[in-house]
Amino acid sequence: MTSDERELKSLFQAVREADAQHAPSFARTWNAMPHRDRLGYLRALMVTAAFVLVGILATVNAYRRREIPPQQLVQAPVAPPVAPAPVVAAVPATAPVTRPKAAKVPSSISEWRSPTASLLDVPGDDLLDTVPTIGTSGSSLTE
Amino acid sequence: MEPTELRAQLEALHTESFGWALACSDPARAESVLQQSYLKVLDGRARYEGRSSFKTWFFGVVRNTAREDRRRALWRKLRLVPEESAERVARPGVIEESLLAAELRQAMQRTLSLLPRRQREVLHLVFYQELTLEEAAAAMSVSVGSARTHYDRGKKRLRELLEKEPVSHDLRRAGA
Repeated sequence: MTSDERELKSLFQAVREADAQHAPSFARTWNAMPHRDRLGYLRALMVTAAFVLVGILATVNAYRRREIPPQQLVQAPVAPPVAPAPVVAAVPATAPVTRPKAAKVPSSISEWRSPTASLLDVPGDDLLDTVPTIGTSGSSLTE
Repeated sequence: MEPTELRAQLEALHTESFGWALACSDPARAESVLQQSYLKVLDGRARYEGRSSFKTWFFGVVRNTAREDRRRALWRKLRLVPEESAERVARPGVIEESLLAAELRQAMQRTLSLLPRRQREVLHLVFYQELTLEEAAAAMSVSVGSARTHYDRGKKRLRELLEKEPVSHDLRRAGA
């Protein structure tokens, strides 16, 4: 042991003697062995139970929200009644008032025709309606 | 080991164990840590199997208990961990001690608190408890090589700190 170590040891031994004066007796320490505080455990248990309850409620709530159809969750806003357009005074009284024609309602679905069907009409439609046969001339098709 | 024999062994070690508990834990919690360690030994949570000396083994128990006690400090502050009734029963009384002894203890506590925990523990075990490095390593649950490293570094650092300590002369006089 070096002199440095001897000096440190003597310091620690002086502290040890001072500590020994403070040390409680063995009997006191032994007889006052810790007893668990029941209230402390109960408190910890209650806090844990509260956390578990909150968790369960949150989970149930999340499941319930998922089961409701979205159209019930998001209510479509009701459109307010449309007020009649104000009469514009600047329009001359002599100007013809044109109203959009009401669309003709077909009596059945077989009569219905697309509004843009006329765009598909071409001059040679009748040529395509008939099937040419071998031996006929092109001029005879048009007749 | 029989309970009566256990008690006799613990009683013989009591003062040294208290000093070790002071070094391992907050001084205000030292007695509580020691009581919890006794309880562990009594109810069989810590069992002596004769692989080292009883003192080394029990110091290991105290060290582990002090570590658990530090971990519970936060929960204790939040009052989520039950307090031990013994704390209220066995509060250390005020004991008269000489001014020099009080100053010495405080100065050493202050100085040692500046050291890392492992260095502080190994120095305490070697110089205060007079254990060998091998025994200290066993009590600290570290290898002998590791204990030696902590010992060398701790000794050097403690020497530097004691040079700066204003009461170092008194300390040396008390230690001489």
